[in-house]
Amino acid sequence: MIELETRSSQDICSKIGREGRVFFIGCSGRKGLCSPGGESRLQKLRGELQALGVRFTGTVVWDELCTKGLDELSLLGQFRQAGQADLFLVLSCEAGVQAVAAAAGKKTEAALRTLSAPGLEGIWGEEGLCRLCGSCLLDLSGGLCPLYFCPKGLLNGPCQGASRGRCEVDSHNPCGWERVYERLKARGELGILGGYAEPRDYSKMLPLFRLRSQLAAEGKEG
Amino acid sequence: MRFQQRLEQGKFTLTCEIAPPKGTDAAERIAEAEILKGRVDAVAVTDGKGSVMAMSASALAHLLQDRGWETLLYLSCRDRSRMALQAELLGAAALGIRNLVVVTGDYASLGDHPQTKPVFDLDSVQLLIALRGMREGKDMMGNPLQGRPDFFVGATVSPVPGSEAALDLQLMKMEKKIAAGARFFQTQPIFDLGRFERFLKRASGLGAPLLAGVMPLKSASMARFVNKNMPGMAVPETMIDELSQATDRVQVAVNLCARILREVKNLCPGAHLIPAGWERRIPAILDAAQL
Repeated sequence: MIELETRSSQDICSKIGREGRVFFIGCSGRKGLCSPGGESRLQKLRGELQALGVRFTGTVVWDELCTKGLDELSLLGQFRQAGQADLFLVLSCEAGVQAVAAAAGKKTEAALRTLSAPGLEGIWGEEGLCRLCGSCLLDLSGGLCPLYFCPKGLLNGPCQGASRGRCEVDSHNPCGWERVYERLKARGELGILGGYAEPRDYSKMLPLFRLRSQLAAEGKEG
Repeated sequence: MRFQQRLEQGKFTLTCEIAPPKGTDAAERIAEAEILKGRVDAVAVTDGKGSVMAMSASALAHLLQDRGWETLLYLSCRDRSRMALQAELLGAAALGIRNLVVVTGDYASLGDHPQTKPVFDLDSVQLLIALRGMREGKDMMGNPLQGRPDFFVGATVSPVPGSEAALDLQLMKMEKKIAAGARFFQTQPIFDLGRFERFLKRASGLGAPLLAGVMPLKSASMARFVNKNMPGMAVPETMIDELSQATDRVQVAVNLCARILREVKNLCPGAHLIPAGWERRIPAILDAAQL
């Protein structure tokens, strides 16, 4: 099972603010694999956020958001309610958040934290996989994960090693921060890059070990 | 203190890079530094530059300070967790090191220990924020420190990174570094003054003094190597021609470097020399630049 943690409504509200209007996309997950919460968790969280002053244009809940093709997701903007929104809030594992961010052309915020996924790192492998850091930063990087695209895992912008837009570690790969830049520029959101990303909380990455030790204790492993 | 004072007084300030030795014998590095006495204001000791394992920078900086040098200590995020970075800072401050340059660090696979685990627990902006807290007497978790490290802290920026996107990103990160406490900047080696001036037009408004990187091009083949392999460095073709047509290659190379240095002096409050093997020719370059 993918282990997911719901962010508190206060935490989400502090990130998205009360100014813009939000379209809320939920995922009902896949039996035996993940439970992001679907309609019921989405409505509960929406109620809490509304009480804090967040305004919504509408909601939609899909099965297995991460398996939706980009074509399908890019139609999101055609929905009137989605088109009116300034921001997409996504209640799914990080694979789903990345998929929406790649297709939507809008600012995207995760409502869940993806903590661990034993044996699985999300189904959607188009742009990159979730590194299961438990402190999602997709909102600061245009929906592309810095831990995945940057070998140094830099959170506050690029190093000085890129050459002609290519990464110093592997010249076959583009500098991920330049991709973030291009994506945010196209959306008129370069200001996001001025935000400061705190050091990562590595203790969040422990659940995988905890799960392993739990499994071992239950005699299901080894 | 001389380094900070000169920069703050707006006097042209010169630093020169010294790389720690691979081994315990620092005599050669100390001798190279000796040649620069009276010619530069401080020496900057690099930290595993190019991801090549060498003596710890703080150890060499300490040895140089014992011989009367003011030093700038480089500190790279590549090899140390946040605990080790803070420990290094406490140690360096206790040894009397006053100036610091924080860098992300080259990736480990580019150096001589490609199998090592690259750490990158913090990035340079986060390290600057940690330093600010330490100066106020707290470690990163808010625990009190007995004795506070108080460095004059700088950072680096790449002024000619090759594209508009990359330049915007460099300036964005430079702003973050200033907000996080960086008080001066060193740059990658400059060759193309025109492109450097375009950078300065945008960077000078940020208010932090810049020490422009100046590195001698020893030959046309070195210049071509730089263009092909060194990120953020671009040698104009006219300079390569000048070097390839030279009859006295060394003299032409010395004069070329001196010319860049003089032009940089008109644009920046300081310069940072990167000898790249020509430590012993730095005095000749400074003579030619009348510095």
